[in-house]
Amino acid sequence: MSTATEITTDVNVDIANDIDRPWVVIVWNDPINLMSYVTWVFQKLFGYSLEKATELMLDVHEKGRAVVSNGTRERAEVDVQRLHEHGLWATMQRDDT
Amino acid sequence: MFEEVDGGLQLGIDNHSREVVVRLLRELRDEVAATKDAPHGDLPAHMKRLFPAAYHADEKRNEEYRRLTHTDLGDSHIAAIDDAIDLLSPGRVFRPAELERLVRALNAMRLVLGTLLDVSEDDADEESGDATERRTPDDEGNNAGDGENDDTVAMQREVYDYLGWLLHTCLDRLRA
Repeated sequence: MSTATEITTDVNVDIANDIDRPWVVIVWNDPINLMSYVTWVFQKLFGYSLEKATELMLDVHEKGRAVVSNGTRERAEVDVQRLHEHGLWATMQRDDT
Repeated sequence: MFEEVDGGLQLGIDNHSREVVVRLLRELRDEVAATKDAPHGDLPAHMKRLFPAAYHADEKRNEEYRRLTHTDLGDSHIAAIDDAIDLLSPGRVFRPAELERLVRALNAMRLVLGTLLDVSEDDADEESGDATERRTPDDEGNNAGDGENDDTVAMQREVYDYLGWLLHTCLDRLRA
């Protein structure tokens, strides 16, 4: 009983952290992926307009990285895996902002 | 490069280029199949590029992520490569949406080749970001260097540039 209570408390803390600080998915610059390919992947995976996808692609190219999505840890993991399937260098971390 | 046939599309590249791309895709497929169950640390650098880390500066979580996804990611790469090889069959007519699989496989092959060639940001700038000028693997012998290794690197570079052109052209068609 005592153990169950402790676990419930820990889960609640984790859930609270997830709500307060969502995860962000970051795509990093690399010298191989074509700019047109990166733009196309952003449009395909996230449904972004050409304008929005191009803006994010340019952030990746010029600033070295761009946040392309955010949400729960599970959602971020799915997004990262789909980006990896498409060959983009993507990672996830808690939102620092 | 694309012909509209019977309500679908046909890829109009010369047979030599088609054979080179298919041969490389088959080699890549074999290499992905051989490494998709291997520990990440055992992968050669050019294959690690197809299996990136998911967590920024958190190796413990990366290990768990790889344990859960590494094989599935490998299977996903293999499925895209198989579809691409099928689409590259001579005379194959396909739906425009099927081009997505070819694009994914071409990009994966370009990532591996670019990593082997140690392509840098300077190289990317020289290409003005995207490959818009057509180069073909037919020119393989025109860049002979001082030795066999130079020849191999020159040939790989020609193929890398050709893949960039092919990928860019496919993306243009997907957007059309």
